[in-house]
Amino acid sequence: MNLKWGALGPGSVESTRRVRTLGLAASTRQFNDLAVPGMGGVWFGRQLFLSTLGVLVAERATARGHRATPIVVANAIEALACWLALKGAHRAGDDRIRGSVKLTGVTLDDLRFANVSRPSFYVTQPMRMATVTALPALGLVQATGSRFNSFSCSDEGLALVEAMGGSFRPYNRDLVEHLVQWVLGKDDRVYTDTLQAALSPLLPLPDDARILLQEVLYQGAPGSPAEDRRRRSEALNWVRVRRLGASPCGWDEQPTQISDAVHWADLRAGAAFFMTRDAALSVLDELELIIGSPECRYDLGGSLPLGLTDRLALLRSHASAFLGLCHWEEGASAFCRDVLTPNDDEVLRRLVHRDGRILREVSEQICAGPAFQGGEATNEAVSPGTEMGPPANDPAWPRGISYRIRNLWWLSLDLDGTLETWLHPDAADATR
Amino acid sequence: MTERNLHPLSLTQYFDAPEGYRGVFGWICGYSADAFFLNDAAERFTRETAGQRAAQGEIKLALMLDPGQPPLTLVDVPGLIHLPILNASRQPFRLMHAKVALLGFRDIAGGGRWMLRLIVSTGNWTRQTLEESLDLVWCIEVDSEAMEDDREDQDLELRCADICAAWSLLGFLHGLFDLRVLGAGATRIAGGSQTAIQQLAGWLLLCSLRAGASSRFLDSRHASLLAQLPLAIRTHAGDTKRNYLAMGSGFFEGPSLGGEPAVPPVLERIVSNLIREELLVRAPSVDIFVNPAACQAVASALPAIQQREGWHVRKAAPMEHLFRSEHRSLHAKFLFGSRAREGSNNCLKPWVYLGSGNLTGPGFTSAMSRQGGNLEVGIVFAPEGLTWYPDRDGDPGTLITYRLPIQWETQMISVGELLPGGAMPPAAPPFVAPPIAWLEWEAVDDGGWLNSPSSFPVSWEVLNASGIPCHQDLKGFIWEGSQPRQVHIRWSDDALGVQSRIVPVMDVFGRLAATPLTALDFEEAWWALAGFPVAASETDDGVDNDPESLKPGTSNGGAKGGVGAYPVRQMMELIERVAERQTEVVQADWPAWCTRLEQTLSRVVNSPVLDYFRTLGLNPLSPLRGNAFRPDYAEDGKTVEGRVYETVLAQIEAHWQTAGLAEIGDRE
Repeated sequence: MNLKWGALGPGSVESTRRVRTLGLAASTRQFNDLAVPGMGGVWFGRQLFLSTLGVLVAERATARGHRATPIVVANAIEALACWLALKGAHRAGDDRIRGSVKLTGVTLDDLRFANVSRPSFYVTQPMRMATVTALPALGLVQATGSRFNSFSCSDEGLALVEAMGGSFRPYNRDLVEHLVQWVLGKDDRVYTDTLQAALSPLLPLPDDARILLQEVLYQGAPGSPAEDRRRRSEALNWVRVRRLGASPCGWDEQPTQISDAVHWADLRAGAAFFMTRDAALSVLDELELIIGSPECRYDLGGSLPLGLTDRLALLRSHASAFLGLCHWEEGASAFCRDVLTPNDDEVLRRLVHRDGRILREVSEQICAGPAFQGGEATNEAVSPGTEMGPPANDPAWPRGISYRIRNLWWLSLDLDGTLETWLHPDAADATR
Repeated sequence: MTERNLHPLSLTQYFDAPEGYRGVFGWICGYSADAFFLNDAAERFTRETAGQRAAQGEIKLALMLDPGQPPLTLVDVPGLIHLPILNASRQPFRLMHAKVALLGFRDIAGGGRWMLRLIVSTGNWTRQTLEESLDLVWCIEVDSEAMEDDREDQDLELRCADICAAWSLLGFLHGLFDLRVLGAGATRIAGGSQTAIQQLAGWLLLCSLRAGASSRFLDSRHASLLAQLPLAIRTHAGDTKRNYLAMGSGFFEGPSLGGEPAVPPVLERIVSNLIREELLVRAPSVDIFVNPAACQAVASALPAIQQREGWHVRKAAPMEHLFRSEHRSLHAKFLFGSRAREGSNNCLKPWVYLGSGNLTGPGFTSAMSRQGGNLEVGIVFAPEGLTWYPDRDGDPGTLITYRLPIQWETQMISVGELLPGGAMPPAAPPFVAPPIAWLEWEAVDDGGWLNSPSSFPVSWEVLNASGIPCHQDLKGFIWEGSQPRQVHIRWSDDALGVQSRIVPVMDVFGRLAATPLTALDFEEAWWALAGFPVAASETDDGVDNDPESLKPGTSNGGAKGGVGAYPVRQMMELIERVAERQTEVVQADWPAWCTRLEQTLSRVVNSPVLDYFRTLGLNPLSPLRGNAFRPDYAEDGKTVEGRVYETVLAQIEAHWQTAGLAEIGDRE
């Protein structure tokens, strides 16, 4: 076809690019690592499986002369897994599937590896990214560096792939071998019930895999710090006792499962920091709403609208609370001191400067940055780290606690085989 | 591109590289654009994520917008440069409104095949076009295979002529916008973006050799779109009086002041011109398609329009086959003329205009001028095989109502159903060229100097992160802290007063506004090379998606990676793999390969493996100079490619501090 014309089809742009890090990404990561070390953004078991499988398949394909990197292969396998899940029975908005927008309209003809591995085929932030720190920390891969491309599958990783996929034989081949053939471009047949059952992120973990993953969480990678192992194990023990009807828990009562006062203090300081950061984001969201549309500007130096005064007051109270805990994390402390400056305009200016993506300052005026949505911003800009997360309707935790605790709670449900029931209680009721 | 009848592409999908190809360079002009849209488009064009593009620091797309649009930086949209206008007070148009993209692709395998794609859109390069408006597109391609076929091919000649006409318009814009930044790094090995730009220009030259005399691509530089319309219809669709005309537009003229509202003059003139030129019957059926919530003068003129025999005002079709129940507002600008005959379902002798020009004075009936007319682009062509109503075979692809947002089921009857809509937002201050287009970085221990290779004769200063001017010495502006990707500069403009602008910073590798290169270990270095020419995955894998985790010094591997039990073997494995890979690199990719090699190998500098070699007094790179490890065209210093390669090796050795050490195998 040499000429195309007519009405443009609908499109959409991923909203995850509206991430405001506020220059706090390092502190955020630090506090999350102190809370539950080595978990990245993982919240259900199949995330670890799909990434490990990607590493393994890439390794085998490389051995046969293929040049796709582990990142490309793992992303493609994840995209395929989500596509297969979308083809089967699923609920709209299930957080275990990504790319439901981009993958609509993908047909069987589009499923060649060469096509699936294009960056624009699938989301730019696959679930794989949530596993980059977890895979080596849990010993599922061996790593010469901390980048995904430097991973190779470990014995534990192989065991996980075997426990998850060993019983599936697409086209009478081993699962891994079939995917290697797909990557090599020798077999494009990937729409089968067997592959769907093996790869779909929506299915519960097989028993062997649950036992193996639990062990992996407790033991971690060989040679990993004992402190990390202890914090992760104790956190897992804690979230496991908090099931249906668990009484709300506050910061004043350290749970018995968390034996170390320093760990609890780190969790608490982290929470104070996250609340300060979220309060800062809410100031910026309000400012964005006030500005409203990209042509408008906000003049510094005038009197502050009420919405901003309230939010700034809340921000300052959280910041003081953090500093009162005297934690050693320097980036967070500097940020809190920053927003305690008495001059409101100066605080706004500093926050906008830290943002730079959604709002910008131009000579005493605040105006729209490149990711501005203004009054159309129905959802608040996501704070980093949480965008890959699970739904938030879980038992009451101490305020502001690291999202990794909640993730671990969901993961523990998966390990116990009850994740589906918790995610979709109404469906479970209906089938009873 | 294959036609998928039931799933028309979105505007960003038109940027997708064809399978087996990747984008080399593209020129885009338009009225407005945003980072959401452009990042998606750039990803599709280059097949590289924003992180990968940010790490490469190369310009692959150049954007020229109306000067009243806010600037986009290379940090906002990595790989794309938004060019400022040179002189806002002498811009020759009222608005820069033409929406055109001319994209060049090359095959990844390196067989020398290429493809050009021309996109003309009625929508802006924005998220709004994707998600909210109803817009139209027209797109053609020309590829190297077609060019190699010597047989006469009128369609190819026509497409080549269209592309040449678009290239002529872009060439005109090149004179108005500041292109200096595209020359950044031109003296370097890979030639910066100049190499890509010249490659594209070469293909365009080949195109011009096959171009026919007339093109479907019109612009308003010398005459209004209306003035050019009759000849274009005649040339491409034939000389017949049609009896049907549809007119649709996202904007119409503003309401006339005072007096009884009359038929908007632009619509009147379109119809009377076509009648006079004998392209329309004296009593045609005329439909005006509007967005009822904003149709300017049409709203109040409804009674006057209704008095015309055969004229109707209709709501733009919701095009449910595309948007289901989702409401879209008409932004498309189009005309559609055809003959309808009793008993025939075919659209006879049809023609279509679509383009940037709204059916307003500045958009359609004026030539470009400072106060009067916008710079607009339109396409006039003859669509094939169109039908009015669904056929028995039921192929919806032939339906005119499938292509254009038109319908005949309802019409607007009362003035109360129509609203004029809001006015255009006021123009922002113009985005004019700063005295310098980029800065170059020279590092010292705790910071560095920022320098400009060239400057307009205007004094300017660099501002630090707090907005305070940096100190200056003989070597340049002194920057404290790690290298910035971009900085604010400030200067005083005679006409506009004090101006500040963000300009990109070029690092020692010639990368513009690039993310810092982190240390690599050997395995990672290999992966960064193995995927060539596909970009290495970079910040894509920032831990927790955190750009800050990739600060230099906070090595993600490198030194931490440690020295294995067999450092010599580790090193030699890498060298052998490099040698094996590079002998397969095609000649056209060689400069890019050399750049990749330098950037990648320079990053393993902290590895203990290298320490080991330095202790031994051996230069591990020496085997790479051997003929057998180089492709034929770069076998020795006799070819340009060979010399470029040797320079790169020398630069890596300087980084590694292994220059002058003994060659491997040279010890006895």
